[in-house]
Amino acid sequence: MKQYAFAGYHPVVNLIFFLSIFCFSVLIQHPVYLVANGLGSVIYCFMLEKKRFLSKAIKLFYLLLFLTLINPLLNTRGDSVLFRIFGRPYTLEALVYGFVVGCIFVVVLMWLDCYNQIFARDKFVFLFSSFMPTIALILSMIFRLIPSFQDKAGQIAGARTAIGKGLEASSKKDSIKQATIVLGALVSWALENSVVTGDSMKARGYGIKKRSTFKMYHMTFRDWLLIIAMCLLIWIVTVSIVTGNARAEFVPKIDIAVIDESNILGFIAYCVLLAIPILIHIKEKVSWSISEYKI
Amino acid sequence: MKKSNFMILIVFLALLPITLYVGMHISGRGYYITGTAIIVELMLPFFMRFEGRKVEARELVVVAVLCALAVGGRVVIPVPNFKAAFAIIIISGISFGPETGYMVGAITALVSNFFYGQGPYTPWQMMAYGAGGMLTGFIFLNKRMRKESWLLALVGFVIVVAWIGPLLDSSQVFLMMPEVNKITFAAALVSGFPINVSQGICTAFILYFFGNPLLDKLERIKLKYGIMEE
Amino acid sequence: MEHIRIQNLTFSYPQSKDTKSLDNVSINIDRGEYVVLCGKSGSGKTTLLRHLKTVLAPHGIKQGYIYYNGKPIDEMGDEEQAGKIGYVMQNPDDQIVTDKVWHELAFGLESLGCEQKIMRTKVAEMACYFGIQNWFHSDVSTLSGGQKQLLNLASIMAMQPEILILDEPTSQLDPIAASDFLDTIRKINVELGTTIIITEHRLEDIFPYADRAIVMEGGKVIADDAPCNIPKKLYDANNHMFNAMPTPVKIFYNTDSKGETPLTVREGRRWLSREFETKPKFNSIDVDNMEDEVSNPALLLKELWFRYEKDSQDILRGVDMCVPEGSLYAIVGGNGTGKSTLLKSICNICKSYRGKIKVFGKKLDKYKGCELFSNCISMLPQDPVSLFVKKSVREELFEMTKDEKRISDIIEICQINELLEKHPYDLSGGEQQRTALAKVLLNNPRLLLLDEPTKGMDSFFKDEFGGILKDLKDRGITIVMVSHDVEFCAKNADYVSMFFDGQILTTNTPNNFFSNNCFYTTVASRMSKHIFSNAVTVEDVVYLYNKNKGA
Repeated sequence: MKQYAFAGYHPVVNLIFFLSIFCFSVLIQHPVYLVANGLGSVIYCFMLEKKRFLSKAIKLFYLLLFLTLINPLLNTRGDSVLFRIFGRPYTLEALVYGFVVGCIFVVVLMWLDCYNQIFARDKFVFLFSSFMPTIALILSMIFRLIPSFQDKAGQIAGARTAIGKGLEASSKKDSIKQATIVLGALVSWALENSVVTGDSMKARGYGIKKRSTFKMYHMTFRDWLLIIAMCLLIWIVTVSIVTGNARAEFVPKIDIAVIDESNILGFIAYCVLLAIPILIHIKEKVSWSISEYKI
Repeated sequence: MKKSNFMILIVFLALLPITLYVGMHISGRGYYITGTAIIVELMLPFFMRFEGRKVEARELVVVAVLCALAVGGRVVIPVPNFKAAFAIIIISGISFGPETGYMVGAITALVSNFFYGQGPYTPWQMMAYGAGGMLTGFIFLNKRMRKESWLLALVGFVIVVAWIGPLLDSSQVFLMMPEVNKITFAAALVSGFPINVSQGICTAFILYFFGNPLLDKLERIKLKYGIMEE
Repeated sequence: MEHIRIQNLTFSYPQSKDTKSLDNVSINIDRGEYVVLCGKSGSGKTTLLRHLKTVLAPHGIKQGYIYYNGKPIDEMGDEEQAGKIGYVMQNPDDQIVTDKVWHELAFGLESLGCEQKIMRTKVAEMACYFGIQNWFHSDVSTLSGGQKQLLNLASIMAMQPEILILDEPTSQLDPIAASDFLDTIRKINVELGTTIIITEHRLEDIFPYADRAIVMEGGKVIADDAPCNIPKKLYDANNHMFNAMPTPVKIFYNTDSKGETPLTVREGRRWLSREFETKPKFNSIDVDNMEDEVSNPALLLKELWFRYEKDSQDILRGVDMCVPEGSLYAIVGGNGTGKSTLLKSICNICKSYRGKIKVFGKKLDKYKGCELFSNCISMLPQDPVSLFVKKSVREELFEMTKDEKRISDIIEICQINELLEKHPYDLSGGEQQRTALAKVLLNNPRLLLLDEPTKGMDSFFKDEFGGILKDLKDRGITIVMVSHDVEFCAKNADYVSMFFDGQILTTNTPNNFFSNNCFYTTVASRMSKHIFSNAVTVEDVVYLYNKNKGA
């Protein structure tokens, strides 16, 4: 797996960032905020996966189109009727609203994609281990078992092919039947061997004391710094939402809060928050190329 | 009082009402967050109960094995859309009781999304799968009923089509649709119906031909090693 | 000082009350001793070892006492017991609990509630000592079998046990990984003074270094002495455990020699040099040479190429092979060189992209559907368990055919009469292998492929298995076998091929093949090379020795 700059930070830092971004993305419908959010997500997503980005973006564009057009069909409120379909009004407000909701959805998906790149399963297990250690242990065990089951399934299928009972049987029904036999054999194998694993856990003292956790990640100074900065930004943005400075209504009437000098701070804070992973990514790229240049 | 029970009380008496109250008072698309938060809070008690009691090593391994089978099972069967996950969750619920059924279901949903991408739908899936496993656990508390393959298949079908499927479809409403109302609900349920039926048939098929042998295997393990005897 | 004292221990399992699994066993083990426990499978070795680790002790009727440091072992606290007594099991895979190497190393310490700082140091220490630091962050699934077993060992050593119990730890490993592992065990014993109790089939690597050997049979201790004294006792008692002894020992006693027993190849060579100070009259045995032209090959491979994915490396790189009908053809070579893949491409599970395969004179792709596997080819997989899908051995056999006559024939050949009602997973390793073989044979193959058939077998079962193969050959079945086990190949094969780097390099009869090699050859050959030119098995050396000595 590639090592991304932002992923180098402590899992808690990553978690705070993504949680806040998800919440804000969903809560803020204001077009200006939305544009900033869209830019942030697109840029970061592009940075993380350059090659697959285009095909992903095209898919998301179709989704956006679909959500925009479908909304007026489901929601007929709105003052400016464009035309009538199935006897129901198709309104401009609903269309715009559909577009905004579609954009939100696409932005969330973009951020989700980044999240799945940055927040590897180790980090997830790590976060779980501090407040639900047993579940974290189960997760870790499952991640260990899955590849070995896949291997074994291949072995069983191969072994059966070599005695003339392969999966590529004549009919579809036969091949499903053979597949379920393989699955059954896999279940037996997995369960019988699980006992050895249980013994091995007991032999190493599982269950005699409250477990402690080996921590792979440690908070460093830059982690704390970033957490404090993010909390500050999140606070400013939240205030700006609560005071209605990021308000936007579309149906039945389009009504959008104006951003002016009095409330621009909230918007700026939002932009900075969105830019955090991007800036970190660029900073690392630059410092690497400088050090390479020096050599 | 045990720490875990205390936490469960906190969830029901404080956390849920607060979430509902805040959820009603935020504007815009707040129900995205409120809905997901409530789902997460509803799951917490189950997880805490599991954390709170002393889990035997062998029980832990068996739960892990069942989850891994449910997630990894799909590579075994080279027929597209033929998922064994529901069948395995249902069997776990039957064999090891409602609580283990819930855990296997919920964790299976969580883990499979590590391979297909996490999203806001993860908690909903965990809830739906977990509740499915728990429900079959309750239905089949009577051991004699387990012998009937057709009953296994029928219950499996109903659980998938009438419970897990609709629950996942309605999460779509919260997460994707621009508005939560009757029409959007209906649209989501109708559009999801064919897939649910095909999943249900597939689950019923596996349970009919394969349910009892699988239960036998689990019984053998329980007997041989004396795990999870209440 | 006495570390463990077992006093009159008798034990029987609840399901078989009449047979005692352990019968009045009394053993003392001193601190820092290296003790090897040997015996046939089913002689009670594992049962005994498990009694030393109370959490793993089997349920049943137990009499007698076990003392640890002078105190009854049952009175040890859980924590002390978990930390002080380390237990490594057979299968490297199943013992691993978590998905990451670092997590596995820390698992035991976590269980004991070890503090973060101490845990970090201990884990780091272990990673360095065992050379794990380079794969510290790896996923467990990417490790080789040898690495996995080393990880199991390290994660137990992280808890700093005083005594280390190992139950056939190398039976699932290839020879090189196995001897590396045993070297590590020896290092632990010598450098840390940890008491070691180990059961092992591979006595060759371990016998010379152990302080003491204990031989068990039918739940009883029949010998308990220094390794150099054990063979004489067994030989005099005409005990079949003698066949499991290291090769130099077997040659020494089978030639009725007197004096100090040679345990290693080096000692064996010296002893032979002393015996034959002048060049012996007969220094080679007559063997058949390879026929150049095979008229009717059962299997013919020409320039076979294979790789798993379009962009991956070639696994098979132009394999040429010709197997005469009715022979046992062995392919030897290192781990991961593609030997198993070769068998799979013969079965058409791995489809080669260049070259041709002819089975009984007919091209592989001319076989339609299941034709190839009915009365033609069958393969016994490396792990016999892969073939088991039913609840009893009988049902397993009936899955293959309904013909009861055939089934009873095969039961006879494979000697599985007593196993029919048992669950396949309740069988011992050797029994599983025989059952799987029976299942494969019910396909009526004319060409039988065996993938590493002797893995994890003890020496008795190897002999038995060799007998079964010979029987099959007499019935006209051609056998192709892939193996690490050079001793087994030397003894049983008609032809041996060296597989390396995706190709078959040389093929010859076992005597010619192994006597041409200096490193990759049998113990008997390494030991006698300077005297006899082509003796590769114990029998060969003994035969030549006696012939020269005029016996």
